[in-house]
Amino acid sequence: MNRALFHKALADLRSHRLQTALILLILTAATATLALAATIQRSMNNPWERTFAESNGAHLSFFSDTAEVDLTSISRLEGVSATAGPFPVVWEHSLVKDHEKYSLLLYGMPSELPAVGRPLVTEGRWLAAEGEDEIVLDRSFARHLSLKVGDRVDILSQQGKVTLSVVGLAVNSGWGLYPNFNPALVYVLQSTLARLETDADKWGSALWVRLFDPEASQEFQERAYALFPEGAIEESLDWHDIREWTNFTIKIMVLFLGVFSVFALFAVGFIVANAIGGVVLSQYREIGLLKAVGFTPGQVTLLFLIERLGLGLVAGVAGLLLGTVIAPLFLRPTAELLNAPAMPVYDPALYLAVLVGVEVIVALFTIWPAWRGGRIGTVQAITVGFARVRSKSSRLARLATRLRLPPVVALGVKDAFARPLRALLTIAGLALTVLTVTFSLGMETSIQVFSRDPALRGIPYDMAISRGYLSDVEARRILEAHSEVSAYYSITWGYAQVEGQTESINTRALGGAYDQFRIIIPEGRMFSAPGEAVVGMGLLDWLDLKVGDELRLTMDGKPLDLRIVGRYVEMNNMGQMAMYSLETLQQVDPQAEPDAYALKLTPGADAQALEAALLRESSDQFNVEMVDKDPPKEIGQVRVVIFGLNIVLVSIGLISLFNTTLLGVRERLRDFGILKTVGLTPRQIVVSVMTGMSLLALLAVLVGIPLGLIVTRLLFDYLGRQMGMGAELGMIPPWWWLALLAPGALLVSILGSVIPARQAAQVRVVEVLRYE
Amino acid sequence: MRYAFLALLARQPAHGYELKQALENAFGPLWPPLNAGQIYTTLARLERDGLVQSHDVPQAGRPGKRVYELTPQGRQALQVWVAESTTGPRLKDEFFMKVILARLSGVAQPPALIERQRREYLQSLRDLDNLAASLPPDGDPAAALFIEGAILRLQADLKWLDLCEDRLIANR
Amino acid sequence: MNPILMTKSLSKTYHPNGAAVRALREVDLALAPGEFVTVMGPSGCGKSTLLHLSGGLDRPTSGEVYLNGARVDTLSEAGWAVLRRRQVGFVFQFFNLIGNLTVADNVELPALLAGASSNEARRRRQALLADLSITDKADIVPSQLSGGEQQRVALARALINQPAVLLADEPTGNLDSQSSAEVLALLQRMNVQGQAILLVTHDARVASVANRVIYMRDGQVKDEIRIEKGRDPQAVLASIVQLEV
Repeated sequence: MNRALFHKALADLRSHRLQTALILLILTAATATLALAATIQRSMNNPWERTFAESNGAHLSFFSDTAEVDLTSISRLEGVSATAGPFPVVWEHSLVKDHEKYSLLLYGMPSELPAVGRPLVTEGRWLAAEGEDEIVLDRSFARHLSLKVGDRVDILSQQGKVTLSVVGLAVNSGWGLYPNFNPALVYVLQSTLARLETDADKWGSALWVRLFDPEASQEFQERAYALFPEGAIEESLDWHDIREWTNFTIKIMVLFLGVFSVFALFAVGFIVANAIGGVVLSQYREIGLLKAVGFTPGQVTLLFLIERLGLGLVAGVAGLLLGTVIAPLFLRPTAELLNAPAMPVYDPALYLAVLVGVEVIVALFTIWPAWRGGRIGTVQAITVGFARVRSKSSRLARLATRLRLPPVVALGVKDAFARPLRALLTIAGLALTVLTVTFSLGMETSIQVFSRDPALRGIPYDMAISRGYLSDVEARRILEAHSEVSAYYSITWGYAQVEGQTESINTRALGGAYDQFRIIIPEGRMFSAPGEAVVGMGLLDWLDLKVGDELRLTMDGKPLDLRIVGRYVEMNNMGQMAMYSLETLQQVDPQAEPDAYALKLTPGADAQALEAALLRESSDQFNVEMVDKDPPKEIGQVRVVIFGLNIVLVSIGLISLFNTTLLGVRERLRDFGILKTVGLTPRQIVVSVMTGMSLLALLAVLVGIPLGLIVTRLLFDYLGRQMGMGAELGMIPPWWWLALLAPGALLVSILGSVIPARQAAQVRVVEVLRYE
Repeated sequence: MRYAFLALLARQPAHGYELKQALENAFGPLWPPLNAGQIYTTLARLERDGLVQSHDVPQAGRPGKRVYELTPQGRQALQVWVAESTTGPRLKDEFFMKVILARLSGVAQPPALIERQRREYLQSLRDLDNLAASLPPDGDPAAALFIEGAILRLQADLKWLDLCEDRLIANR
Repeated sequence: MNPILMTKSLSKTYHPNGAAVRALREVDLALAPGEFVTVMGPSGCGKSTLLHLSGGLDRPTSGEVYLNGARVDTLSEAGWAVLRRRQVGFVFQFFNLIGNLTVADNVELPALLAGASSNEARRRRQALLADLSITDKADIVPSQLSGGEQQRVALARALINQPAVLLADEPTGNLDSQSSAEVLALLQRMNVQGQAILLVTHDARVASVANRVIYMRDGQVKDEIRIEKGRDPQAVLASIVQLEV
C-alpha cells in the first residue's frame, strides 16, 4: 500500500502542475525569508560580544601621551592574563579629504597581528612587513568618508603631508563607532609612524590588557593608576563602557530590524498556512474518490503529508540555498551597523531549525484539513452536485444586494468569503505585509524629518564654533563682523556632581540670544531666570525626577541648586544633561567664560565660505562644526535592508494572493459555467473575481495601516525613552504616502488575481456542466 | 370477461345489472361500456358450463329478476385461474408480422412502418398522460396503476422500435 | 409568423483526440411563438448539442442560428451573455443553482443582471415562487431542497425575465416520477400561458408532452411528429386495453 501511496503522490503532483509550482514557489520564498530573518536576528545578537570574543579582546586599554611613561609595568600586575603592546600612538595628526580635516589616533603596529585585542580585518589585508606606505583604517571611519581599499589618503601633520595607501579596513572591539567615538582609529607600521611623526616626544603609548576576571576591571584600573604619578595615564577604556556605547549606538537598528523580522516571520507564516491548507481544502472530492478506491482516512492523510512534506523538503532546501545567496546583501550592511565582522552565512544548526520549522507548519496545515476532508462521508464527497462550499447562504451577498451594489460585485464578494477561514488567513497575511510596509514608511519618514530638522535632535543651530585659544572678546568680534551670522549664543561646558550620586553629569550654560533659537522643549518651558534649568529625558529617568523638581548639583565643590522647569531634547550622553543660563553658572563660577558659540545663519548664506573665512580670520584657532542635514550613512544601510525585505514580503504576498484566487476559481468552475448560462459576460466574471480579491486587499490595508502606525509609535516611543531623548520620536508618514498604500494594495490584488480571473472567464460552459 | 364475473360473484350473488355496475366501478373509465347482450350471453355460457347457476326472484308488479350465483365448480375454476402464473409480456405480434412480411414482400418499407408506429405510440403516450391526469386523485388506485403500466410498456415498445430500426435497416 | 428560434443547416463537429466526431449534421429547426417542441433521441444523437448551440453555449462549426429573427450564431461570448439575460432561459438536468445563494437570490440574479431594480426583481421573484408553490423556500439554500423543489427554483430563475424561449436539457432526468410529473405539468402550464419551450430528452414519455416531437439519430433529424392534444380516451383505451379475462 505504501508504494501505491507514493505513486499516487507523484501522480497527483504531476497532474496539478501549476498548483505544485505555486506551492514550491511560496515555500521556497518563505524558507528563504525565514532563513534570512533568522540569520539577521542571530547576527544582531550580542554583536559586540562576538567581535570581542573573536578578536580576543582587551578588557582594558591604557593610554599615555608621552613615551616616557612605560606602561609595561601594568602588565606585571596580578590579574593580567595577557597583554598587547605597548604600541606607540600619536594623536595630533589628521586625515585630509575634500578640504576637511579628520582627527586621527594613529597606532604604530607590527606586521604580525597582536594576540590580544586583535583588529579584525574585514576588507583587504593587514600591513605587510615592508608596507611603509600602507595604512589600515577603522572600518566605520572608512565608511563615513567613503574610503575603500586601494584609495590613497593624505595624512597631515606638523611636518607636512604624507600620502599612504589604504590596504585594509579593520574592526576593533576596544574602540567605538566613528563618528560617535572620536578620533578615528588608523594603523600604520611603526616605521611609518616614525616617518609621520619625527619628534619622538610627541609619541604616546597604548597598552591592551586582558584580565582573568573581566568584572574586576574597575578595581584593576585603580591599581594600574596607582603605579604611576598622577596624569601619567592620560586615559583608560573599560570594556564595559565600550560595550554600552557600541550597543547603545546600534540599539535603534537592532530594535528596528528585530521588530521588522518578527512581523515578516508572522506574515510569511500566515501565507504559508493559507497556501498549504487551502490546497488540501479544495481537494475534498479527490479525498472522497481515494476513499472509494480503498484508502483509509489515515492513509489519505498520509498521502497528502507525503506530497506536501516532500514539496516542503525540496522547497526548503532551495530556499535555504537562495537565502545563502541573498544573505550577504543583507548581512553586510547590518554587520557594519553593528561594528561586527559579517556573520558567517553557513550555520547548519540554524538552517536545520528553519527547515524543521517550515516542515512543521506544512505538516500542521496539511493534517488538519486532510483529516477534516477524510471525515466527510465518501458518498457525499463524490456525489454529483456535492456542495463543497459551505451550504450557508452568504450574508455578505445579501448585504451587498441591500446596499444596491451591482450583482457582479455581490457575487465577487460572496465568493471571496465562501471559505471564511481562508479569507481571514489571506487578509491576515496581507495585513501584516501592509503593517511592515507602513512601519518602514514611518521609519523612513522619521529618518528624513530628523535629518532635515536638526532642532528635533537637539541641535537648534546651523554651525558651532569652539574658540580654541582665542579670547571670548576676539571670538565675538570675528563672529559679529559677518553679516551671514544672524544670531548666536554662547555655550559653556561644565561638569557637575549630582548630590548623592557617584557619577557626574555634563552641563551646558547658555548665554546671549538663545531665545532666538529653536530649542525644543516638549515638556515645561525654557529657563528664564537664574536658578532655573532644563534637563534631558535621560536625567529625569535616571534620577527619578519630574519637571518641577529640584536638582542639586555640586560644581568644583560649590553647590548649585537648580529647579527643573522643563525637559529639552538631548541626544548626547544618553540625555543625562542639564542646561541653564550663563548667569546661573556665574553664581558659582563668576569667571566662567563661553567655550563655544552656536550660530544661526541667514537663509541662503554660503556655509562653506563662511567656514573658510572664520578659519582664516581665527588663524585656524576656531574649530568649526557644521550641522549635517543629511541622514547618517549608517542609516542608509538599514534602509537598504528594510527596503529589500519589504520587496520580498510584497512579492510573497502577491504570490499568496495569486494562489488563493487560483484555488477559489478552481473550486468554483461549475458556478462560473452556471453564471454564464444565466447571462454573465466573461468580462463580468473577471470583474467579480478581481473585486472579491480587491476587497480582501482593501480590508488588509484598513487593518494593516492603523496597526502599523501604532507599532511605529510604540516602537519609537520606547526607543526615545531608551536613548534619553524623550518620547516624541515617532513620525507618522505623510498622509499621501499612506493613501498610496490602498491603490498599491489594489494593484497587488489585481496583478495577483488577473490570471486566475481570466481562467474563470474562459471556462467552457458545455464542459463544466456536462461532468459533475 | 368470464373470470371477471366469476370473481364478482365470489363475493355474493348478483343479478346482471348489478354485475355491470360492479365491473364499471372496479375498473372505472378503463372499462368500455358493456351492453346487456354481452352480459347475458356471457352469463348464459357460464351457466351452461356449470360454473354459475341462476334462479328467479319474484318481484311485485314487475317481471322477475334473475339472480346469479357461483357454483362450487365455478369457485374452483376461479381459484385455479388465480393460482396459475400469468404468461410473460406479450409482443405486439401483429406489428412484428407486418414488418417482416412487408420486408419480404416489398409491399411496404420497414422504415416507413416503423415511423408510423412510432407516431402512434407517441400520441398514445400523450393521451394516456391526459387520462392519468384526469383521474380523481383519491380514487381507486387500480386505474392509475393500469395506465402507468400501459405507459411503461409503450416506452419499452418505443425502445424496441429503435432497435428494429437499427438492426433491420442496417442489415439490408 | 416569424419563428422565435430557428436554425439553418446547423452543424457541429468535435475533435477529441484528433478524430472528427460529427455531432450535428445540417439540422434545420424552427420553433414558433408559444410552441412546445421536444427533441428526442438516444444518447449521442446530438440533441444536447442542438440545445447548447441554440442557447449560445457553444459555437457551431457551420450553419446559422436565429433568435427572434436576428442572426445570433456570430455573436461574441459577451454578446450571447447579454442576449441570454433577456431572451433565453435554461433549465438543466442537474438543476445548476448557485450553492451559496438563497433561493430568492438565485432567482433574482438574472433580473438584476438584466438591469431590473432590486424592488422589481423581488416582485417578479415573489410572483414566480408563488406560481410554482415554493414561496416558503425563499430564504433557504438549494442544498436543503429536494430535487423537485430545486428544479422548480431553476424554472423560476429561467422564467424571471420572461424569455423568448425556454431551453430545457433533460429537466426530469434527476427526479423521481412524482416530481417529474409535477415539473412536466408546470412546463405544460407555462406553455399554455404562451411560453415557447424547446426541451431535449431521451425519455419518450417526457417527449410526448410537447406539441411537436423531433426525432433525432446520429446528428440528423429523422422524423417530426405532431402530437394532438386530446383524442377520445375511450378510443385510446380500446386500442390499448386488452383485458381478456
